[in-house]
Amino acid sequence: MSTYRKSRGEAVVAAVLWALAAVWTIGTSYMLGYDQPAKSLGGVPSWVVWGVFLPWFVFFLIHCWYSLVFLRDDDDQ
Amino acid sequence: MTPPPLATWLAFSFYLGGTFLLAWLAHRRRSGASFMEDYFVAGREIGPWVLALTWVATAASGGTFIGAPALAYTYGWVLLLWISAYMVFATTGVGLVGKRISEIGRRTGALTYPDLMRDRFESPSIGVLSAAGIIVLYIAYMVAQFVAGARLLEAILGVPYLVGVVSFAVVVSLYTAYGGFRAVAWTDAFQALVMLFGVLAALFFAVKKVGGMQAVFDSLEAQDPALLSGPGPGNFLPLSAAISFFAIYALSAAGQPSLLTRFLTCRDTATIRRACFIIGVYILLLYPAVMTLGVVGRALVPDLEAADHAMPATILAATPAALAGVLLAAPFAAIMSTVSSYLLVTSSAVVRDLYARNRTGVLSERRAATLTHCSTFGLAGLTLVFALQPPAFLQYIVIFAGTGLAATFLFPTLFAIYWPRMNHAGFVAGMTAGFVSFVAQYALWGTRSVGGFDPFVWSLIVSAAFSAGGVRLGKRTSAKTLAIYFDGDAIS
Repeated sequence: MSTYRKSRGEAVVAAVLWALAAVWTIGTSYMLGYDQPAKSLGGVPSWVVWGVFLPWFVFFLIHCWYSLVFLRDDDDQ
Repeated sequence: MTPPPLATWLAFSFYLGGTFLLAWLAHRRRSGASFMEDYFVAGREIGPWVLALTWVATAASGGTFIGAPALAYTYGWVLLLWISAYMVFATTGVGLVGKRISEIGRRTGALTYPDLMRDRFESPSIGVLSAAGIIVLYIAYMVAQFVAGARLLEAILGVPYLVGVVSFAVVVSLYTAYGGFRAVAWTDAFQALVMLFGVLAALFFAVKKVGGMQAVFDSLEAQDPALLSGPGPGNFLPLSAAISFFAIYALSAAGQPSLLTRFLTCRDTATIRRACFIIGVYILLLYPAVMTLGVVGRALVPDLEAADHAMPATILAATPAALAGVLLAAPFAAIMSTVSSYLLVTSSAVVRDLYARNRTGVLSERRAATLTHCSTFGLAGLTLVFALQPPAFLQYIVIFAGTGLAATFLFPTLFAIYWPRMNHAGFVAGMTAGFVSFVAQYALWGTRSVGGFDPFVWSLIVSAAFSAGGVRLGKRTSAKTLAIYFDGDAIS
């Protein structure tokens, strides 16, 4: 597969990951944290834990896979 | 705020000394490349750690360390959602554009973003147009950073605004002009480490001082329960704004010429992959901590007159004096690293893209060096003149210049590097439409455009539509050029 096609595939996956992160983060935060009293979870509002911190950690793990495994070297190296 | 003790001055001076030492070392380690290749892309010898740290240091600006914590101080926990797109910042920045730009740069020998686009479309006018856009928007962005730097000096060291802004301009332009990209990258890396250490240490001391996170929660609930929930006080972040900022912070990096240029400086794809991983780790540690620090500051020093002082006031209230100097260097480091990078990109746009590539004959090494240094100092001076009349809302200017650039460049760039049919007409149409749409929406509706979305969102759509439509108005780039950019099998 050419370098161009490889990069194009990697860009599509990056765009899909962005969309998934947006749906999880905004959706959960809106449902659990908007226009209602906040509940504390270790001193942090629970909607921040489930809607921001947790997806951040999960997408960090996906990022590790993306950068270290999925991104491939060029043919011209 | 009371004047800082001598230990704070000393620690701050050590930080500045370290910055100049690195610039001097970088200057001594010139590669065998031509002046321009060495000055603007460090001879393409940058490794993964420095690439990653210079990228994040450039992305983290005065807004990140002054404006954003001030917003967290004012509006509470909803600011964590406001910046949450940073969770995919590295993936989108590297995956969408970074790796591909790097590959093309190594094949074509491009030194700047306008270089890349000019050669891709075989059009000198593209080089001039994109260079002009970079110069105008980056000067606006640098003005905001100069103001942030001077205000910070005023807040933490008691330096008068005028003295602070002039000193800031002199310091940054000196080490940028002296060492070029290598100095900027090395000092960026140093500054990125200072930022990370500063924020994590400040957060630790601030939470300890308040009495733990539950005490922070209770304090905010007592002050205003809206600080704990969305959309925050005064309807700060309605759903449409949350969606807008998820687009802005994840995608704007992919459209920023200063960040795109970083990918022209590395030697191979393996460097990019490792840098991408490091960027993700760094962002995971830094950004949630910066925002949480702003929230904790609300519990620690609840009665500040100016929210812009939230970060320095929290640090001064929470940490021992000797450590405070080092920690206060963190936001200053963020501002310096952003300005030095933008100064270099703007200077390259003037010398390389507007002058050198549009003249006949060869530009001598000595003349290139003289012009580049003069351009760096001249642009710093021009920015200083604008910064003497400080703008009222720092963070909004940063967002305007940052997102305006991305709205202008993102889709034309994506089409240029991934779509062989993209041509000169499509690029000009997309860039112009994105910029005009962004400015017009801001002028008419401010930060809440149609449907409550930020102008960035609509400008991206307009830019993409005009890029695709504009393609029909021009002829295709020659097969010879396309073969370089897209490999033989991709052209049909």
